[in-house]
Amino acid sequence: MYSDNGKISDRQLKILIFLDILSVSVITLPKFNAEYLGDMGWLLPIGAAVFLTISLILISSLAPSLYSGSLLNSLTRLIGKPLAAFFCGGLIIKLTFGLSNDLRIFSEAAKLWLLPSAGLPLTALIALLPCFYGALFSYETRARLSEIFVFIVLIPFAAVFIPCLFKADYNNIFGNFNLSRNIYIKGSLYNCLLITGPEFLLLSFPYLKNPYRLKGAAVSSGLFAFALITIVCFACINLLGADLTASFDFPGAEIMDVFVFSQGKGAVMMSFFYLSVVIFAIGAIFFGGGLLSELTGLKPVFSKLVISIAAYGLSLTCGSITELSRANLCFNLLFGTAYMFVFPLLLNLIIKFKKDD
Amino acid sequence: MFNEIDKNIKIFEDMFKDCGDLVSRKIPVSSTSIYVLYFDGMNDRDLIEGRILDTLMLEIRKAPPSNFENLTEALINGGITTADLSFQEHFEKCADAVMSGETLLLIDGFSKAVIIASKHFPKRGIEKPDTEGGINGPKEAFCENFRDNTALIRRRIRDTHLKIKQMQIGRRSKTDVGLVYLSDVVRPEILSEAEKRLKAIDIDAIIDSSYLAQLMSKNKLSPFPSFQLTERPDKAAAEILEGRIVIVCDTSPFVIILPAVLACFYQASEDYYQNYLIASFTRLIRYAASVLALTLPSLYICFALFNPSMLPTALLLKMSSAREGVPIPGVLEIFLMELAFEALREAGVRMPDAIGQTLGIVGGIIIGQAAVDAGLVSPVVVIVVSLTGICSFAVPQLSLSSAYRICKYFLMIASAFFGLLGFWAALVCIFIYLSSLTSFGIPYLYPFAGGDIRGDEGIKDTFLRLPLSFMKKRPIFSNNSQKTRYKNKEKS
Amino acid sequence: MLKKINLIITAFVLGLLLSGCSGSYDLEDRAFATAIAADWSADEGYRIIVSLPSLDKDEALTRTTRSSTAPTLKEAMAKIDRNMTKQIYYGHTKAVILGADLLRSRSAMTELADYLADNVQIDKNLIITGAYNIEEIMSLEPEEDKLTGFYISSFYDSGNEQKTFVSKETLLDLLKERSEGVSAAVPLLSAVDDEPTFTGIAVLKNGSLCGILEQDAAYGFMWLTDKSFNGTLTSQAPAVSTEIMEKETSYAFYEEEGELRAGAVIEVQGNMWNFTDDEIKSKASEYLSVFKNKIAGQAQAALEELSKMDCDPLNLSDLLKENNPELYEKYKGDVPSQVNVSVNLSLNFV
Repeated sequence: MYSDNGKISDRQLKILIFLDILSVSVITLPKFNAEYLGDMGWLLPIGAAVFLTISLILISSLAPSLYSGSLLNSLTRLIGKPLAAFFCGGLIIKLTFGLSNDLRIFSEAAKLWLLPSAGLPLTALIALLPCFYGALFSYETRARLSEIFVFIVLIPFAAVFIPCLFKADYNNIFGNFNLSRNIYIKGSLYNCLLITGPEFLLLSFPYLKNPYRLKGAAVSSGLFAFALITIVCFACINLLGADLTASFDFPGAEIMDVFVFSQGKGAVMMSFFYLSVVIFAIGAIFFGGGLLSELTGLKPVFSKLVISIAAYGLSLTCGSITELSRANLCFNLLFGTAYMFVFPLLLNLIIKFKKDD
Repeated sequence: MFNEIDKNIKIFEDMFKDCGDLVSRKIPVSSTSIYVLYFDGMNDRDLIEGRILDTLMLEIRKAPPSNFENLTEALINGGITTADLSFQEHFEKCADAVMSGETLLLIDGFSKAVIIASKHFPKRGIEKPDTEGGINGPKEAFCENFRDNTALIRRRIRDTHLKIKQMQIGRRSKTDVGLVYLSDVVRPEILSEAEKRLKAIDIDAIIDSSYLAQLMSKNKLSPFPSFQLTERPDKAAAEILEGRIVIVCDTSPFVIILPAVLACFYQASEDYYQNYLIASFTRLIRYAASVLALTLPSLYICFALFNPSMLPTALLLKMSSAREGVPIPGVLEIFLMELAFEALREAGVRMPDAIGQTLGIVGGIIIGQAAVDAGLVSPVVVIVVSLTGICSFAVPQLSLSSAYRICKYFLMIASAFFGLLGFWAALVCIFIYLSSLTSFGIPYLYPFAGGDIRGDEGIKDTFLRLPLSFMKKRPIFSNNSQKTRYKNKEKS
Repeated sequence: MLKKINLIITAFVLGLLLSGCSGSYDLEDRAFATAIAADWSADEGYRIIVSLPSLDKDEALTRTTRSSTAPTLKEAMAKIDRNMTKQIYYGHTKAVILGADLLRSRSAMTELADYLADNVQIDKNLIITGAYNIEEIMSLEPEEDKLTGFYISSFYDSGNEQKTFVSKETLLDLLKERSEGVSAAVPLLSAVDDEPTFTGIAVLKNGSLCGILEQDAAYGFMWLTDKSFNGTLTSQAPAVSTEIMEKETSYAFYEEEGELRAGAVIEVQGNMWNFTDDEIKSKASEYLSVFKNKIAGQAQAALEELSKMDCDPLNLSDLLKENNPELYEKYKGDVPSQVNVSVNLSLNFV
């Protein structure tokens, strides 16, 4: 009743988008940016924020037309069953891959700091189990959970990354500013494609209280998330140096280990990131399982189990973080571009033409 | 019922055969007969024997009042000198009334039984609350008597909108249960849901209000309480004024308050009788204590066994040296100590006061110290376990601290196997479960989650207790038309 | 059938999950290393000493060290682990002491830095310090700080009475300087009167030793770098000391007669009010010139030694690039060998 019949409020939506985007990006993007652009790599998230804004605007424009009923049903009405099924099938693959990527990254980091003696399969399994459990409940449960977790996730920023800004050396932060525009745009686009979360927006339309006010909420939280990612990238590249940042697997976590007030607290700080991974993972299993259930007719709980097992298996296939990063980028160059820009644009055009007709 | 008194008497005699505490007598009055029936020990004998029967047998018999049409009317309206009476024509309901402490009066030629309210159960007086003490504020507590309890509430809310909807629950106990609420403040959906759940209870007997709480709960397997229990009338009245419903149950000194969200369990009456600063401070202490009660043993396991870099070196060396020679593995040590503490706590509940204190000293201090000296356990574990126990008592509501006690073991097992990762995974599971819970449609984690439903008004009375003048609106429990509870007259 | 499958799956998952507890050790089964000393020689390879303090039942400190020698670092560390009944935990290691010979070997330094960087237990804020004799430093028992590694850490803390001033070099600094190709300066310690004492600076370039600055040159280097410090300045004749409160070093680059020149401006603020002797107050100007000569002398000594080394520990290249990009464009490539540094002092004693 007071939980608005399963609908989520604007505030909950903002927090969900923020946490979905944050996820593991803050510990992996600094390395990618340092490798890509060296000392000026911290500027890439700023450009990525622009791309993200475009993507979020495109996706949120679809809300008024697609919010009644599930995504598959709404798309069927719009573009027909075969195309809708194709769209949703691709989305399931994207969600599963995104989940496997995040799971693997977190498992690697957890293996380093939290449970060094355990094997990677075990660490991944322990990390995944609560996420599967959370996906069995309603979407509102995830929204409420995010409202609790967001404060804990922000602790490392308040305790580490923002104080790092006071220790940073602001001389020569732009280098010689001899930056190729094409390289910058390409790098920013890669940054945008590497994050996860905007596709959840597509799937959460039926759960929104007010689908007409989605744009503002989505863009503001996306920008806030990227502001924090920029701070983290800047802190890493400035304090560790671009080369060292590129050499560490998880420079964001290394910064936490180094600049927290006392030794060894990096493990605790790492734990806080688990919470944002959990929020993302619950969403991926929930939505992926829901879509799969609609497409195949399986019971929702089995569909969610299938998605979880698939993501788990996929997360163990890559040999190293570097390979994973490369695979992730290749995958998202296709799927990320498709689901963040191309498909939303096409759908917007289709809706516009149908309205004009 | 029959017109002939003898037929009615025969049925009642058969019904109450072999009831040695039953008092019954057929008395001739003027040209008719009356039959009195009640249970000894449950009745106000002064009322029945001293006043009503006195009037009937002496005054009416001598000269029936002439301003009544007939003798029956004279007996009822002139002889029964009490305002609280009713009429019943069904034998079962008459029997229920007698078993509830009422007095049954049959009049020959009258096909209904007169039920005279004459309940007078043996009861204890209004005493101090046992489980919800405090320094400031009222010191009254509910007792086992239904009417006394409703009177204690009504005394504090003198509003015509205060309703007490009564019903009897329990096939054999026929326990009086009352829903107490403010009709213009309560949410009608919650009220109807509560009534529906109460009416759906089909059980032999309701011995205590906690039976109702358990039977009404939708989350039957949940360790977390979905209803609050209180023995303080001031707290009950305050909650009714917020739009919540209080269920009073006869023979139980605890009333149920619903709906109940997590934040409610941290609110004690004492908080509102003190300055807001000290109240806020104690609230923060409570929240911190509950976190410690839930997580301290698990964190000890994580830090000592998996991530010793979290602890300062000097402390670590001392802990390490203290553990030398301890034969039990660290994880087992803390589990055993926790269980020993639980046993001590359980023993303390049942001990008579005279022995209880001694047992506390012997069990807690001497045995603990002896165990450390003998090298069976390390002192740090004793401290961890004691602190956990103390913190669990800082939570005002026993039901919630009991839930933490259970969840604590879940966290400990997860930490023992998987260190910090297991700890966080288990904690996330607990949070997920809490997020999924609702109490009559209100999220259990309100106002921390879903607080913007009513503009975050609820957050003013959670971690901090803001001044009363800041809490102008009622929290989510009240209906939308009665949101305001405080107006600053000076400003207007 | 379904029940059997459920049972098998449950048993499998439980079996998998139960294997997680292998990573736990009881406290008494761990030994905590607070300092690691490493040296290297061409004949023996690595010599490693690990300090493992512990407390007995009466809380008396027992300082145990374990040492080993092996051709590779991993073998040496593994040898120490093998000889222990307890699991060594490196999460509380405060300092790593590098022998002079190890500092001279580039490959050994690289291997050591990589080993420390890859070991997740080891804190990146670990202090890196050098010593002529690692056994001497590891066997020190200063009265106040009894744990090896901790007294080295507190040696760098402010508020501790020191006879000189030093700047901390951490593992992170070392890794960063190595990755950026910047020169590093590792303080060298010796044991004097059972106390760790700063006696020199090892200048590293690309992870290998460029040269050692000792005595006055070492102190001079500290004046010339813009790093914070604490300590006292002492003069023997006349015998007077002063506490240094603030020091700031900046460089001004210019061209003169076709040559690149740099002026190192050292501003020092000290405190002589510690002494209540009125004679000191009246002779303040005399003492000022004493300290000025001392500082200038030490700085010059450092510059002379640095000119013989093929490295840039003062980061003159970066400073020139920052201050005067035009001159940098002209002289970039090998700034240190082309620049003539002179010292300008500004002393202010309260």
